[in-house]
Amino acid sequence: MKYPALLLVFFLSFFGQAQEIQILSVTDSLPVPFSTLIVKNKLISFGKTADDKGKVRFQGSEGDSSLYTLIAQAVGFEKFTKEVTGIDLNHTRKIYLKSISALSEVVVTSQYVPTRVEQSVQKIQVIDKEKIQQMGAVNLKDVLSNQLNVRLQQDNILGSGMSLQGISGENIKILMDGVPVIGRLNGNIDLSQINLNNVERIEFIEGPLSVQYGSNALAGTINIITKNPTTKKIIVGLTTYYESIGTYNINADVTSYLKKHQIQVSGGRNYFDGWNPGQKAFYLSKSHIADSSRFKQWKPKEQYFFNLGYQYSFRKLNLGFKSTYFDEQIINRGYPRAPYAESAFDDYYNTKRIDNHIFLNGKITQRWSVNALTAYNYYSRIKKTVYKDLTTLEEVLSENSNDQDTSNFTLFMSRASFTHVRDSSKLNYELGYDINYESALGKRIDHQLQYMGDYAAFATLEYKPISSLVIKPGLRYSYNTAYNTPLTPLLNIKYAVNSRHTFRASYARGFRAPSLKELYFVFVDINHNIVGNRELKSEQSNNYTVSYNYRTTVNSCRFKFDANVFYNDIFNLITLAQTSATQYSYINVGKYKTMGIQLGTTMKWKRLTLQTGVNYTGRYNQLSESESVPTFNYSPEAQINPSYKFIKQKITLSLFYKYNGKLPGYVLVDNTVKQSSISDYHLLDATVSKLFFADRVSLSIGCKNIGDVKNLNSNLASGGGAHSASSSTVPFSTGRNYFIKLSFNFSQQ
Amino acid sequence: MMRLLVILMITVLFYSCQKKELPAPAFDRGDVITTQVDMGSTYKDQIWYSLSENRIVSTNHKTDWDLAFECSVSGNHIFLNGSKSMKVYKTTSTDLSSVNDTTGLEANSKADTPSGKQDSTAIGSWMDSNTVYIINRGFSETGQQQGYVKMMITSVSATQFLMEYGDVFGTQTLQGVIHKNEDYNFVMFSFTTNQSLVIEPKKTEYDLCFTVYTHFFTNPFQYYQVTGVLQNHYHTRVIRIRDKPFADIGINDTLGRPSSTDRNAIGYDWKTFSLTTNLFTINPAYCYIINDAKGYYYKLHFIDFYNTSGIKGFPKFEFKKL
Repeated sequence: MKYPALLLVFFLSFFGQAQEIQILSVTDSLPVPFSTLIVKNKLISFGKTADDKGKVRFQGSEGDSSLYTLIAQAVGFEKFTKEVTGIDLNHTRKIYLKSISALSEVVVTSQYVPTRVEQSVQKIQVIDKEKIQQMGAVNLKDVLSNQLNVRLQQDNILGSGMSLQGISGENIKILMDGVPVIGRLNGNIDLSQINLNNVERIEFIEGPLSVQYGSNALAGTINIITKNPTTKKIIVGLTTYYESIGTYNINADVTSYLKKHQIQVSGGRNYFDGWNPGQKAFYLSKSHIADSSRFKQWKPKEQYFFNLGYQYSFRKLNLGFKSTYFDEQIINRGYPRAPYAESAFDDYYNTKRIDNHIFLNGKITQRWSVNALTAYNYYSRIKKTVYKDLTTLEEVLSENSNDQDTSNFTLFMSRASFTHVRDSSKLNYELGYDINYESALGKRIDHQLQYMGDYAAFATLEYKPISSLVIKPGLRYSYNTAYNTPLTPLLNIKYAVNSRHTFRASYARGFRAPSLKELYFVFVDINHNIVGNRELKSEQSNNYTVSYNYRTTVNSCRFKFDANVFYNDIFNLITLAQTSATQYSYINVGKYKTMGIQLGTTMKWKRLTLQTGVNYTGRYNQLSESESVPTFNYSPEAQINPSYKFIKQKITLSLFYKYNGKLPGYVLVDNTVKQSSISDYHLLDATVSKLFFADRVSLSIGCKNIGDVKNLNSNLASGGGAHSASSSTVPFSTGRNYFIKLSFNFSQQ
Repeated sequence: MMRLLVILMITVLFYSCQKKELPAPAFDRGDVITTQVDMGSTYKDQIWYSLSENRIVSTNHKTDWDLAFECSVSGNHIFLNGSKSMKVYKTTSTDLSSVNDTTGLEANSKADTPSGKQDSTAIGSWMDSNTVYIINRGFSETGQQQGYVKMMITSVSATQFLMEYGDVFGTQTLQGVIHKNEDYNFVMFSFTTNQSLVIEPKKTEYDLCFTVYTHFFTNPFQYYQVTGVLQNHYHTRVIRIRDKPFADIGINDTLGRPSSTDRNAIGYDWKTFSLTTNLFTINPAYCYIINDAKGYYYKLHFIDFYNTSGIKGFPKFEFKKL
């Protein structure tokens, strides 16, 4: 023991009297629960965690007039340091913490403990509640439309997919509070099924996180963090949202906090009545004769969702569960059939997601923290086709074998990580396991039902040889019941020259496990013979990233600059190929690479926030292996997001602009190489928000897609000039539309 | 203000219901005969149909037969059952017992030309160089492989064909006798029952056969099973009309237009399969005039490929005697 006096103080504390200190937030004077207080003087130094009221007690003796230093810390707040003289046993001393500005948020994904963005070893972007609100974003697709390095694709039956750093959606992991979202159709998760009504922030990580999160976390990880616990007794919220293309959404939530218990209930309904190019804005749907107008390019859609959350806080731990129920119905009304337009085939697609998880996180001891999750996710998608007589409107369930289809996926997962963190220590580390047991049920799966179990252990450590340098290596080992898993390494380095300049470098191995479909697919009929391959290995990638971050404050202007260079090298790409004269199967043959550079700035000056960014991404051209065409096809993107606040009037004006450059490509047509491209487009949204009635009512009015982008042209340019160019269009967006969003929020202390 | 906002909210809440459709008017078809035939949703059946009698003459399961032998006195052509995707490979061997595996079959096998031209059969002119054929018996409608047979024609006369055959992997050699009958275009033979049998009705008794058959796609070359209509070999002709609505077609449209005796002159392309909707769509512009063996003209077009329960494999057509 360095300080025998410390022991003495603790000993005395059982008998002495207590000084009470309460830690509060400066913005709303609400207590900051579970914040940390460090008390120091010449002799002693000890830390204590506040209770749920933000209160800390420590013992002292009457008449002590020595100089103490109080240091208060809490996630999301700036560090508070104050020197006080003596101990006042009769009064509660109050400490007010300033919350950290939007320029520096707190993140949890792949962190040992909640960490401020700029301190994370891994580069993480945060899309906060404010941006979601200002964009009028309803679901994940809406908010990602403004994200650099993200390209969205639209399929009006399968939903919205994305690619990141030029890598397709099957290599992107989407997490909801750390729990993987399941239900991949053709590898993609439908982003429009992930509603943001209950979301606090989105943590967006480019590059692999396969060590911690396993399969699919190869191109990047999106972790959606639902709303934080609150300390208000009760909060009731109600939001309605209308879009001129025929979207009517409503949702409500209730949060209640009783001592150590907290309950959240929310639910809602989203309805979209379908849209065709050429449809007028503010078109009100009404009953219509069942003619060709019944067919919609964008299908009518109805979603119901319900969330329930409970959290119990004890000691320094949080224990709780979250349940989500989601139901979506898409109606694809068929075009009246030739020649007499008297009948049509209508498809109904019903998707259900039921996700439940329990969690335990927090500090077990002063040094050890735990972050544990156990989840069971259920996904089902039922396609139902009916034959509809349009003259009588009678429906008959179609009996064709391919018209009725059910896919079920389930995932049981359990992940826990134990982290050893001591601020003063040069070496902190994390040990964890990740168990995933999934099933797939579908018509074209061998024996209709297949299972796959994945049992993984991982470890990372953070080594700080000097205070400005962090070296974080990691390793994941796993055993999979279906295929041989690779050993996955990781190395992150962060070097903070000073408070302004930070460099980061990383090498990470990412992987994507072969899906149950790729392993067990069976589709054999008179014209087809496609089977899965049980010998498949996982797709793997090497990712190299280097980034530089500069931040400064000049007068009242805060400025941040980021530069980021990445290179992804994917090998053992799973490709559908002809494996014999008559049979097709999946094999690990392909390779794919992407690389890019990204620059971004954020400036915050008084009431103005301006965020800009550009990137330039190269996507590997697989034809370059056999033909003389460039190895990479490059495409630019740019982003400008200004926002201005009128403080007194409580009005915020925001603009969201993103330019997506032309996507060039090469295709082989009749054995000759031809250039192809998907046209470029500009996405611009503008929003005005205002708060009324003591901030209880918020109103946003805006225009989305001002550039009126509807379909994207996909051109096949002529090769030698002699052949005619062919082109097609892909639906991308519903064109320019106007929205109004109205929220009511009532709370009681 | 608050009141206005609440009203706005309630409007959003209550406006958002799925609107009911109103019935569409029925189409006036005029004076035509409408017929629908049932091939089964897996297209398992072959349906032989007569226009003049508006009747199905006979129906058989497509796996009932393997080879069709030409029945005319001088006939020596042999056709495969294309509805099963049968293929044949002509080996260079002249000894049936020396052929014991299917080597070369996958790479070199052929199917009959979809037009049914006698000079373009897969078996070809066996009389010039008589060797052993390895036959892939194709697939049932459920994708079940039907086996492999080796076969050699021993003789043909004005009254019968003689052949030797057996399972490629077996040791047994069987003799097949197929008696010609001039009332028919073809007499069939089945390697399942080892018997010749009558499947196709008498050549004067039917006009159209609804069946699966093997089509050749080019670019790249590919055999593909399609579902459609083959016409009678015997004195039936088809005029394809794509430039006139069905209602306006009259007897004058038989003049100045080429007619075809190809068995797939009607074929399968009166409907199109869409990979995006997974549905067959009728092409309303595809109309036909059929000149039957008795010399009558009929105009015909297809109006559906589904029954009223939405099951595919139910070609529905309208026709009228001109």
